[in-house]
Amino acid sequence: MPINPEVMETLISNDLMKRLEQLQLLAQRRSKSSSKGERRSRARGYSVEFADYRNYVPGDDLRRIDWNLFGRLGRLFLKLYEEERELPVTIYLDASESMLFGEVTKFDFARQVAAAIGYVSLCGFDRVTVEPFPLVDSQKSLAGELRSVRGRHSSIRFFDNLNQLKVGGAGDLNQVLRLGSIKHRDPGIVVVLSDFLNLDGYEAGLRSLTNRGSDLHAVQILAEEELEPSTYGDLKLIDSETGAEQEVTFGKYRLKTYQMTVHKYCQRLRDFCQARGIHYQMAQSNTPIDDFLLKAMRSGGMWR
Amino acid sequence: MNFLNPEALVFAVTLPIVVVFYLLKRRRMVQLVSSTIIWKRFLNETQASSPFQKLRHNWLLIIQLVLLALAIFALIRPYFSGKSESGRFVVVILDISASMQATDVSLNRFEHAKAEVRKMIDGMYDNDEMILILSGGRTEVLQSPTSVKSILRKALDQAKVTDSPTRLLDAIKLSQNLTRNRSKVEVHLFSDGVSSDLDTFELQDLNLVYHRLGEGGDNLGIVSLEVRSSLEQSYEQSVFATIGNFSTNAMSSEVTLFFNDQMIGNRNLTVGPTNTASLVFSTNQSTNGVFRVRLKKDDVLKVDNVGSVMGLTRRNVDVLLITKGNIFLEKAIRSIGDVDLIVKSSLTDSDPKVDVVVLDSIRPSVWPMGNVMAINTQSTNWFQPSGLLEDPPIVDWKTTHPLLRFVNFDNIQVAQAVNSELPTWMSPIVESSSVPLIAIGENDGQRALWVGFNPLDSTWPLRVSFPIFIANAIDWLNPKIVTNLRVGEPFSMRMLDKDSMVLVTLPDGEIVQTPTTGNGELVFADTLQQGVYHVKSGTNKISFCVNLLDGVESDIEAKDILELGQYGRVEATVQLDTNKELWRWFAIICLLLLMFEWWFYHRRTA
Repeated sequence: MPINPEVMETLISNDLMKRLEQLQLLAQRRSKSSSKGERRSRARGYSVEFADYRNYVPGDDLRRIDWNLFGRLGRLFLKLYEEERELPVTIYLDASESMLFGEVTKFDFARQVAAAIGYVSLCGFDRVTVEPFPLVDSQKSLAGELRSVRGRHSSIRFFDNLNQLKVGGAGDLNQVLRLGSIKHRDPGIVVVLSDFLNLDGYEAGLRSLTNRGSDLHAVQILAEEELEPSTYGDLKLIDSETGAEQEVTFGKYRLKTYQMTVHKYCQRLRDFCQARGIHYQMAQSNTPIDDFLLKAMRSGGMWR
Repeated sequence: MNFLNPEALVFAVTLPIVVVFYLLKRRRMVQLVSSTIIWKRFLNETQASSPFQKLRHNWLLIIQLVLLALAIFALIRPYFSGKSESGRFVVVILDISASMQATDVSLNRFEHAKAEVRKMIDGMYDNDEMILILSGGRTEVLQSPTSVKSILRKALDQAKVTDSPTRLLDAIKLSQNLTRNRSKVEVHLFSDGVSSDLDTFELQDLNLVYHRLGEGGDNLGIVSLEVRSSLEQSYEQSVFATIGNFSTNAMSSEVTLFFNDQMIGNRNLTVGPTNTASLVFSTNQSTNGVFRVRLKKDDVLKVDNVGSVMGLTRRNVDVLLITKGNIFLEKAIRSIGDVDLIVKSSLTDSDPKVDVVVLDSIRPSVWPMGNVMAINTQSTNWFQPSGLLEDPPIVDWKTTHPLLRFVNFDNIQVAQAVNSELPTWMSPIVESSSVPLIAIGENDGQRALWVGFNPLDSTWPLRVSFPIFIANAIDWLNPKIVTNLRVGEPFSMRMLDKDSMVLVTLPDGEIVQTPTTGNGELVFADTLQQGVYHVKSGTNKISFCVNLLDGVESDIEAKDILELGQYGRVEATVQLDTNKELWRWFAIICLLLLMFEWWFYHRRTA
């Protein structure tokens, strides 16, 4: 079924897309992927980038002997070139029920960020995988199509698939990240888009990702209502994911204390990330996406 | 355990209010949130993790502190210092006379006076003593000296106004006796000053404070009421009433006469200012009954607008004369109206039962039943004559005795008289130099009149005093029951049964059981209510009426100055200096603050 290219604009505007095309993902380490690509790697291959010499041994390709050097030294040396490999980009997208809050929902915001990262990656001929979680049965095929997407030509389908993702259920961040770290062994760029509001915490999951040598980015997305609640009085709060109830009496006079609690929670995540070399970004879901992508993400070392 | 101020228990009402506040279930608003993780952390952080926290500006805290301060302030019972000094002995005389029922002030004068006295009790120091005296027709100490306010308040609550006239003199004299040799004495008289008996009292060192009650107003009242039977027709009765106007304007009213609660007459009467007017109702009532006169005028004193009087049909007195022949005596008795005379020569057992027995020179073997007039009777169990006394001069007679009213013994000579000693229950009313000539007495309920000489042996039957004396004697020997009394006067009558219980129904319906005396006399003194009283003893029934009929009491103009004796003058005080405690105000403010706090708390969290 042909896909209307306008579907891309529902996530990212044309102007923004054009600006994203000029960006390049920053990878601190050389790619270790086994597939060919356009990223420098430690492997030797047939690119134009000279890497090193080595002694000739019988059986080597004669076309790669440096004859100029043989003329000067009388010995046979083989000229080695860097192999260009692809950079795997993995995006963990939180699609749990809690992401459905905010004037611009946190999920919409996260999906836009995922689309932007994916688009930059596809333009850079990198392999993009989006792992939405929790994964309901009806979306398993969709998630399959979001795995290992490559090439700019795939961007329309990529965007369409992203657009079809739905929110629902309770997500277990730790388990998803742990499984992901096993599944995607090739180090690359890993981005976690979530509100990090999980009962079991986030530490175990993030720690498992750091063991793979990837460039990790944690983007915490919170709704305005979570940062500054506007409902006061005697409240019975119901957790959207677990259904747990919490009675609280809240007034304007306690707002500062609450904001302090939120700040502490975010700061704890930031400290955890900094201690493990993870890039941390916090975004409010109603932040203009252009500003976040072009300023915050750029300064956060995602791309340049 | 005693409480100085048990009325404060009324504030216990606030306890259930507070409980109700806490019983109110707070309705929580259900709110779906992305996650409760942050909220849980928020609640954990706001709960006390250390014993103390930084004191923050909090209106609730300020309100609660103010509340507590006010409660403590109330508990220490602050007051404004008045002029009263500690250690006083306060005598409160409360006028409970009929004029205190005047409604020229709110409720009436009496309730107003009670309120004033209550204020005075509230303003007492702990070491002050107070005594409460009620002054109406009778003076009564309502509460002996005490410092306990609750007892005084309780006693004051029991005080009731009566229909009696005012007799302030006794109360003032009593207070003078009570306060003798005491220091810091204050006598407070709460009255309208309507009293007629203060002229004889000389105010000495008594510290009397007169609290005048009442403003005065228009009043029309019945000041006299009487019923008389016609001399010609026994069933014709006339009701005389005098109505007094005690205001400075002419007043008119309908005057209605009822007989046994049936209206039998109605007239319009106009009475000039500060004047009286009389009217007479003539009726034909063949039975005994109660005449009631009522003024329809709606004035400030209701008690004097009604008067009741017993209308009794005339009944002749049955007299039995036992004589050998005494024309003067017989004629004298027959000349009295309303007498049915039976003349016999000897006393027998078959004699009819009469009201009075006259024994003329007869020596009875047994004294007859009923009241007896014994003339020249000798040698009985009552009299033991020792001989005859010749020509005894009459030297003394008691002119004030009702028997000797209009009777003069100046020109009377007695030829001879019986020289006899009187029984102890008799006393002479006419005496010679050494012996009694006429004596009276009452023995075991039986009245006896003894004449110690034969009138035929004297010049007395030829004098005008003789028939007058006989008429007086028949009257005295046949005493009429007084059925129309003033408020406070005792009712008395002779009952047939001795030591029996008599039921008296008061005008307000209350039934009082009263015993008769040893000689069968009923004396009922609790006549402080105006109206008709019914006495019942076995199957016998009798009614009597009690009325105010007091012009002084009906003149309800409150007196500004009390004139005591020749020189004593006490001016009315208007204001009462008392120590006014303020704790109630603080308690009220506390309560209001509590309510405000509750409202404020909900407003803030709403």
